[in-house]
This record gives sequence, C-alpha cells and structure tokens, in this order.
Amino acid sequence: MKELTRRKRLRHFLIALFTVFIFVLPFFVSNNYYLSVLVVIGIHTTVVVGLCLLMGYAGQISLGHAAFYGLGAYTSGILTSTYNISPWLAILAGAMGTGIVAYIMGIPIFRLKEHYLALATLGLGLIIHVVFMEEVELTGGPSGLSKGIPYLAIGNIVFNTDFKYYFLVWTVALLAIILANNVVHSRIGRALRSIHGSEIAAQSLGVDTGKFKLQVFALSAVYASIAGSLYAHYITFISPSPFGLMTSIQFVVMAVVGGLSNIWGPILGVTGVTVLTEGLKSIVPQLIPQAGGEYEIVVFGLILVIIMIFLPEGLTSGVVRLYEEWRYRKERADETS
Amino acid sequence: MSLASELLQYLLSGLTMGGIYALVALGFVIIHNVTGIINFAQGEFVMLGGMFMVTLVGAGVPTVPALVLSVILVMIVVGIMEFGAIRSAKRASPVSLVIITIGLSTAIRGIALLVWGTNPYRLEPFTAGGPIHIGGATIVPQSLWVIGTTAAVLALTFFMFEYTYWGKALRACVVNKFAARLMGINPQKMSLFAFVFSAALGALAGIVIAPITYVTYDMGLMLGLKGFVAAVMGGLSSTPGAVIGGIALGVIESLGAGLVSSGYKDGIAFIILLLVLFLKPGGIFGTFGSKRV
Amino acid sequence: MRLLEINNLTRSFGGVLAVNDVSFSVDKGQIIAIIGPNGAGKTTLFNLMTGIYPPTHGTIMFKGTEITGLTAYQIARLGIARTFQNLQIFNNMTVLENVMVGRHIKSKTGFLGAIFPVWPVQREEREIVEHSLDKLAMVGLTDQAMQPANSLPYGRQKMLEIARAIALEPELLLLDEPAAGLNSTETRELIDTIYNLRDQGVTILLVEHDMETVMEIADRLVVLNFGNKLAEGTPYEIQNNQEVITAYLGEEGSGC
Ligand SMILES: Nc1ncnc2c1ncn2[C@@H]1O[C@H](COP(=O)(O)OP(=O)(O)OP(=O)(O)O)[C@@H](O)[C@H]1O
Ligand SMILES: [Mg+2]
Repeated sequence: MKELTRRKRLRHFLIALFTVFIFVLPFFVSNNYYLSVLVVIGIHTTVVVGLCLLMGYAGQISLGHAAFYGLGAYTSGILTSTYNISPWLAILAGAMGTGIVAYIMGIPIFRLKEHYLALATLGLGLIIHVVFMEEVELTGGPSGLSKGIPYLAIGNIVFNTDFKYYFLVWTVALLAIILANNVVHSRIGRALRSIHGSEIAAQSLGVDTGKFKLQVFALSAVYASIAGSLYAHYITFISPSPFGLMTSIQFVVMAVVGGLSNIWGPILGVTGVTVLTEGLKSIVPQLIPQAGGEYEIVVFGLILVIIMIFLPEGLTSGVVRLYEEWRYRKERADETS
Repeated sequence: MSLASELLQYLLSGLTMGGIYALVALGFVIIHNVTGIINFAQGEFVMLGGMFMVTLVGAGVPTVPALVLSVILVMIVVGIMEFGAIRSAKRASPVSLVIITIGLSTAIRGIALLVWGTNPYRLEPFTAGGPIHIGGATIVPQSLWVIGTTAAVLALTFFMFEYTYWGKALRACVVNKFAARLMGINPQKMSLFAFVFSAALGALAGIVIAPITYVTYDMGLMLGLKGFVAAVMGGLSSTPGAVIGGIALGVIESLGAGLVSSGYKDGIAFIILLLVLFLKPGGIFGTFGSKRV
Repeated sequence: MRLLEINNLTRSFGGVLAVNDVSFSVDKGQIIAIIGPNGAGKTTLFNLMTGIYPPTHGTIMFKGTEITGLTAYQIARLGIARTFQNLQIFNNMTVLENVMVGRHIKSKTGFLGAIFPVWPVQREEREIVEHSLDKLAMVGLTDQAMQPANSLPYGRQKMLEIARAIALEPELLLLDEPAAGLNSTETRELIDTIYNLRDQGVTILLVEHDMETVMEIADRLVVLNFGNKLAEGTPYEIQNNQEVITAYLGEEGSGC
C-alpha cells in the first residue's frame, strides 16, 4: 500500500515537474525554427500517446493512424474553410466523427490478430488516404484544400505565432498524457494490459476483451484526430501527403523507439525521432549533396530494426530497468553495510 | 469498343498484374510457412530486382546475363538481411517481427531512394514489336513475357517442390514445420533458404514487369501489400492458393478500375482484403490451421 | 441443488474426439478431481466449461441455467473462475496488478471514470487493492506484491494464478494441474489453500496427476480416458475399479 502511494506520488511529481519545464521552455527558445519543431513535437506526442495506449497497453498494432490524424485535419479544414463553422466546434466534430469511424471499422478489424490486424489497419489507412486524394470536390484532391484554414482563437487571442501556438499545443499534449496516465493506472488500464499479457486469461477473468480493444482503438483515434485538427490550424493548409502510410509508420516508429508501455515513452520517442530527422536534414545534404528530401526513411527503417532487436521495450523501459537495477543494488549494499 | 472486348482487355491486363501478384504472394506464403513471419519487405525484393536490371542493362549488359545477375544480387541482399536482422530477432513477438520487417522494407526503400533517386526508370521490352490484337483487345508483347515467365516460374517452383531435396525439405516445412524438424531439417538453414528463394521470385517479378510499369524506388510498397492481399485471399499457407489469389486479385482490380474508377484502384485491393478477412478469415481458397489454446 | 451439470458433452478437433459424450454433475461445496492419462481430454473439458470454445454437442448447466455457447467472459461473470495448465500470468504487470485484474467484474469504473478519477473511482480503486492484498495473503505472496509477476519462481506463479482466480469470488473454481511442478512444501500449501477455499464455500474442480494428492483431497473423482468417461466415484471406489486400474493406473506404472 505504502509502496503504491510512493509510486503514485513519484508519478504525479514527475508530471508536475515536466509541466513546469514545458511552460518555461519557450521563454528560453528565441529561434522560431526551434519553436516550430517543438510545436510539431507536441502535436505528434498527442498522437503517439494514444497509439501507445493501443499498442503498448492493449498490445494491438495499428498501421493506419495517420488516416485518423488526417480525418481530424480534414474535418477541421473543410468545416472551417468551406462551411465557416467555429474551429472549436470543428475540432469536436472531427474528434467525435473519427472516434465513431474507428469504432465502427474496429468491429470487424479487431476480430483479427497480429499481422492480419497490422494489414487490416494498414488497408483501412490506405483506403481513407485514397478518399482524401479522390474526393476532389470535398478535399481538393492531391493539391489540397484551396481555401485557407483560419487560425484558432480564444476571445481576441489569436494563435497565429509559433510562440502562442506552442502553449496551446502543449496544453493539449499534457492533457493527453495526464488523462492517458489516469487510464493506465485504472481498472480499464489493467484490463487493457491484461489483453496484452494473455487474452485468454483476461477473458476468463471476465474482461470483455473485444469491447476494450474497440474502445481503446476509438480513444487513440480521437487523440490522433485532435492532433490532426491542431496540425491543420497550425499549417493552415492541408493536402493528402502528410496522412499516408509513411506517417503511420513514423508514428509507430516514434512509439516503439520511446517504449510502448510507459507514459514517458511517447515524449522521448517523438523528440528523439524528430531531433534525429531534423538533424539529418541539416547534416545529410552536406555529406551527400545529391540526396533528396526523403532519405530520412532509411534512418527510420534502421532505427526500427535496431530498436526492435536490441531494445524491444524501447528507450524508456531500458532506462527504467537500469534505474531499478541500480536501486536494487543500492538497497542490497545498504543492507549489507 | 464493345463491352465484350472491353472486358477482355481488362482481363488481359488483369492477368499481367495478377501474375506479378502471384509471384509476390508465393514468396509471402513460403516465408510465412517456413518461419511464421509475415515479411512486409517482400515488395522491396520486386523493386530491387527491377532496379538492378535497369542499372545493368543501362551499363550495357545484355538482357539475359543482366537478368541472371539481378536475381543473384537480390538474393545476396536478402540473404544478408535474413542473416543480419531476422535471425537475431527470432524470439521476438509476432508484432515485433511485423515491425522489424516493416523497418527493413523502409530501410531498403530509403537506400534505393539514395542510390537511384525518385525518377522512374524505363526498361526496353524484352522483344520489340507493336501491340498484338486479340478479339478486339490489345496486349503488348511484354505482357506475354510476364504471363509466360510467371507460368514458367510457377511450374519450376512446383517441380522443385516435388523433385529436389531442398524443394522437398521446403515443402515439408510448408506442410508441417514440426514434422520437418523431427525429420532433421535445420530450421535456420530453411529460413535462409525460404528468404532467398522468395527474393528470387520477387526479383523476377520486378524484372519482367519493369518494361510495363517503369521502376521507381517506392514501387515495392504497393506490390508487396497487394501480394500479401493475394496470399491472404489464398489462405496464407497454401501455395496454389497464393497463385490463384494473385491472379484473381489482378483481374478483379483491373475490372474494378476499368468499370468503377481508376482513382480508387489501389483502394479496391484493400476493400477486397477487408471483405476476405471479415467474411472468410480462412481465405477464399484455404483454411488456416486452428491454434491450440 | 446441483451447482454444475454436464450432459453428453462432446468436442472434436478435426477427427480427434477430445471429449466424447461425457456427463457428470457437481454438488455445491465438493472437491471433485478429474483424472486421466495425458491427452484424455481434461483440459479440453475445462476449456468447454469456461467458454474458450463451444462444444460440438451437449450442454453445460451452471446453477440451473444453461451456459453452453456463452463467451468466456460471460461465464466468468456468472461465477466460474479457473487457472491454466500452461501458466497464463500477465507478465507485463506486477504480482498485485495481476490479482487486481481478478477484481475486474467486481468493480465498475468505466472509460470515463478511468480518464477522470473522481472520488468514488479512487475509493473503488482502494477497495480493489485491499481485496487483492487479502487474496495474496491467502496464498502467501504478500511480500512479493510489488514485484513484476514474471520474476516469481514457477511454483509461486501457480499460486498467483489461484489468487487471481479467487479474486473473482467464484462459486466454482477450476484448477488445471495445480500441483504440477510444485515441491512438497508448496504442494502442502496448495492443499491447505484448497481446503481453506472449500471451507469458504467455493466448489472446486481440479485436474491432477499426482494420485496421492488427489486421493487425499477429492470427495469424488471422474476418470477420463481417450475423451470418454471411464468411471466416477469416491477415491475408494476408483482405487478398486478394475477398469480404471488397467486403463489408467497400469499405464501410469509403465509410462511416466
Ligand atoms: N485446440 C486443439 N486442436 C486440436 N486438437 C486438440 C486441441 N486441444 C486438444 N486437442 C487434442 O485433444 C486431446 C485431448 O487434449 P487435452 O489437452 O484436453 O488433454 P489433457 O487430458 O488435458 O492432457 P494432459 O494431461 O496432457 O494435459 C488430445 O489428443 C489433444 O491433442
Ligand atoms: Mg491438460
């Protein structure tokens, strides 16, 4: 009991510390480029937190999350630019719509397991992406929405600079993390993890595993959708290209790199991968001048392979394990002395 | 053009692509049955085959030696991949293995991008000559090459399964992995063999299709996925099923694209996939072995 | 009243009749052992009773209602819990959390409550913890509560599965070879735990190969052989049943 309270306090303390860090950080970052990278990290973190709930806790893979990200972005984009609906309402509509789509599509998809599930989610993602490309009247097709998407605003604060948007995005990302943390340490979180541990045992303890898979899939889709809406209002223009398979894979890479079953994994994974790709963007052209813009996918692929082989639990769990081993050894040393 | 000849046209182009899908699907089935892995990098083998061929021919190597050399090169690359990555991760969970092969395919595609860039490459057809007319439909000679090669390779594969030691060993693994192990077949060697053999199938597919579709660094993604769809249609563990699945997919896709909308062509394969998975999770032509609880 | 009634239960896998026309019934408060050689169909019988897969023929009645065809989680909710022959511990959780999953159906926090843990949710969470710690104490795992479950030795993991199963407060508990792999001290503890549960009113059905243990604790035995029910009766009756001796006990001597 005491140990439980201690762990809970530690978690809350870390979250509080991180929150302070996040909201102080932009005051020390004067460079606009760095700020914009931080904004993107915040947006991606929101997606990956949801994906980690699905993959790390419930143990279900999704290779189609970019499509949910896209559904959020397109709902926001279309409703605000074409129909002049309030952006906040549009975000809400996108989140609910995406959640419902994910839930309904999940009903047949989650009868599948493992690689069939991977393929089915991938297929779903591709189909939704094809719709973005083909429904020209609604989405503008491959060239994207023609009308501009408005900035978000609260009262007369318009989120039209990286600095202001940073606070909005990270408030959402932190909320995403905190709420996911609540879920993880609840009856629902345990039910999800039990599915990952042994689906048969979970069922024989009365856990309706099918229902929970659907619910967490829908929840993770809602996370992605909200992040997508934030992306749309940040860039103020959208086309299908950021919502394809590569982005889905990128989300999975970020989740896997950070470590799937730890709430800090997404931040670490997203930051690590983003810093790496941004770093490569400035280094690689100097080394290989003729390289195109997408060489980063080599690195993605290799990171994925290396992490899965050598650190299958991801960076965070690796660090946590090292820390626990250290603590254990220290306790042993204290006992003997 | 009359509806009948239009249908014939779709059928012919469907057969061409279907042959390619069949080769890729066969590779999936062989690797899956021998190792239990779904190799999402299968499509990259196709791309590599096409790219090596284009490069060699471009460097002045005659068609036949270039073809042989390309296939061998792909086999070497895949052999290294199996040795370096797949083998070290054999004990990983199925989801981890899926992620690993996705990582490998992404890396291969990226390297191809670095080496060959984003431009599509064109390969001259194997034989010159204009389109051939068959009952109101036309077909380019290269399509005949594709269909012919596919048929020949499939015949050879099944011949090998029946009459050679390695083929029989492979088939034993395909039919019953456990029994194969009892018979003293080394699973590690078989895994390497399965990957390299599937690489050859994929490379051949890439080479014969190159004059028709052009070769791009990212062609493997879709081809691989559709090959997998075909394999799933065939039940994922049946070799004839994979072939029938591939051809069926090619034809359905071609008909769908022609009759409905070509923009949704890539969507069609996945709608079929979802339908197959939901309605008949054992595949149209096969059944999955039931899993022991 | 009959707690459990199994009528003409049959299940085949392809051509194999794993369970063939088996009928028997269990009264409340009994300890019933199911014995039989390897492959006799004992685990299959458990899987049928817990809804892992449906029977090919036959019915299962629990407390007078038919449960044939219900899913595993529905059956668990009616009050049947089980352990597994091949351990199914949640390796990704601590010992305590494993048992806490066992409280799933006795608690009701939903997704909304999980996302926003208001006071009643926290109170329920505390109840879950207390209850689970009680169950861990019953099997002597209190000190290991915060350890990762997979760090426990095999015998302890088996006790953990029992703790997790009884966290459901089941009326009927199915134990699939609970003593296999336990040393003699652990077996003793297991037997005490089983008696303890029986005294609390839990009816217990167990599969066991260790004849000494079985004959000691079981009120009645059901003997399976090649999917068929060979005999049923008290330990004394079974020990003196000629058919059982030739089919099963004889084989035991020569085989394993
Ligand atoms: N899922 C399944 N698919 C195919 N055959 C099965 C399956 N489950 C069990 N069998 C077969 O049914 C028969 C009974 O198996 P079961 O596991 O019920 O035996 P058991 O009595 O529990 O044996 P043991 O003492 O070894 O645990 C065996 O022949 C087994 O091979
Ligand atoms: Mg058994």
